[in-house]
Amino acid sequence: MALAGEDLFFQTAAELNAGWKKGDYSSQELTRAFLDRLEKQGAAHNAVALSLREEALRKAKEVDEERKRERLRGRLQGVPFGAKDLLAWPNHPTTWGAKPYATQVLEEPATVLKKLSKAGAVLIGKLSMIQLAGGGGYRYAAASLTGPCLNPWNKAHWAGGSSSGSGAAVAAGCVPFALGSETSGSILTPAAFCGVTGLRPTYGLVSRAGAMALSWTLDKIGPLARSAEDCGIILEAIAGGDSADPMSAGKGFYYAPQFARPLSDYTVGYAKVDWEEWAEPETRETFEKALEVVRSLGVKMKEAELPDFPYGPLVSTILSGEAGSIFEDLIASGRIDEIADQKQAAGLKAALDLPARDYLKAMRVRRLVLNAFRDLFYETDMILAPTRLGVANRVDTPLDAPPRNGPPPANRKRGLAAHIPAGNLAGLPALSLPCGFAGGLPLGITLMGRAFTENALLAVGKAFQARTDWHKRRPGA
Amino acid sequence: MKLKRREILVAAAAAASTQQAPAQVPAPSGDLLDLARRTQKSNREALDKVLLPMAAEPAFHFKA
Repeated sequence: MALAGEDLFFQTAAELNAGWKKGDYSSQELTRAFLDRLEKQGAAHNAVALSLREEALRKAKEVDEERKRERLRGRLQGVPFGAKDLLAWPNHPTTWGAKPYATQVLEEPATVLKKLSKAGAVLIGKLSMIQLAGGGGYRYAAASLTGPCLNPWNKAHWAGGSSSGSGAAVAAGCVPFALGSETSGSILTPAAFCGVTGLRPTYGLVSRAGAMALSWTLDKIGPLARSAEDCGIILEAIAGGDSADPMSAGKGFYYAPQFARPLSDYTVGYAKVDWEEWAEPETRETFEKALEVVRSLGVKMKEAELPDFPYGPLVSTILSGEAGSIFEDLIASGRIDEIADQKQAAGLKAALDLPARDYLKAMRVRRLVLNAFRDLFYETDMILAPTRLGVANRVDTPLDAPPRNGPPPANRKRGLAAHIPAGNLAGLPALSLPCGFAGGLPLGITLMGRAFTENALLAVGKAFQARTDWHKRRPGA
Repeated sequence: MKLKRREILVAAAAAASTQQAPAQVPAPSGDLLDLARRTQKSNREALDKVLLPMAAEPAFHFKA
């Protein structure tokens, strides 16, 4: 192979595809190298649910034969990848990260995996996840069939959830990219905690057919990758209408950086209070520098604030109502007690008793949230905020432990700090970009925009990554 | 084996109770279930504070 050693594992998908097209290496060589690393280093981080060695090598061979026949399929052809274990793939267990489903085999592959296969990408493994994507509310990083997923930057810390293995495997160089899913933060959080780029697409842009449902009106599938550009390329491959997903928007996506508007056309909303008060003290210097880089791109910056709604209670109520119904059989059978986190089991049991009044009220208030976001995006094209306010939690600390610095003062301005539940309620796209470190652990910033404006977010993200190298940093380097 | 009438009645009653029992939701440790219910209640209270116009319909559709 032309690329030897560690460098190979930290190339972007686009770079790997370019090398494969030139004949620097075959997809079989690439796939074997990534499989070896995934099985060794991925497993050491509890990031792997299942290695798909044999069929991955078969697929890579097919792809190499296509190259010989000059049958080229785009910029993911020949590139290995991983997928969160909530996506169905035939002939193997799809565990949803939970013991009651440890032997479940779903024969119809998830639409997104069919699409990537058609694009010539090679699925090499299913990646670990928080059980049932966190439905019910978990207390420990160990709430997973595969144990706590360890952060490649520091194994005493968590990789984030619920797409834990997707974040960790990309960060550790075990896969060039991975698919994850987000109901409320499950792509953005592991992306930020692991120092990779994560894209949460607009609700309905990517089909969820063949994915475990946690909340029909909140679930989204998207990529975790090595750059904003890779996220655009991957989104183009997986987006599109699908009659098998009743909530599909019926829209495609074309990644078109060549047609991006000048950055000076964009107005980016931000809130000083996020950077100066909401962000944990040890992260503020890093976040401030990232804010300055965004400012230096030539975009217009404008103070903004999220509309005033109880976003956490809204997401919690909607998710509870939908997850309780989805997992009713599991809960009623008593098998819910087999899952690894009893707080989560209790949360799902209580969900069965959620009054219809609460669910419907939350969905009606959600309408007001959607309307308010329309007003917010009348004045800005996108908003910018720290993805998470601090670094990854330690694996041995309960995730619901009280904040180290005490509760925030009641009179603190809202800012944009609640962008994760707010953006998920409104179904808006968001892009998390690595922006530096605090105490040796990665931090991320998020750009969130109007529905179906992924190209705008990716354009600003790409410009940010042209000025910084945080996305190129490697754990242990 | 010959069962006494009393033993037959006890066995029948046990079988009937098994058949008629609704799907059990085994109680987790009470504290955690209570905590989950308290969270639901505090969520409800937070939502009750939002001024909700009668015309506001549930958001089941998302549009660009």
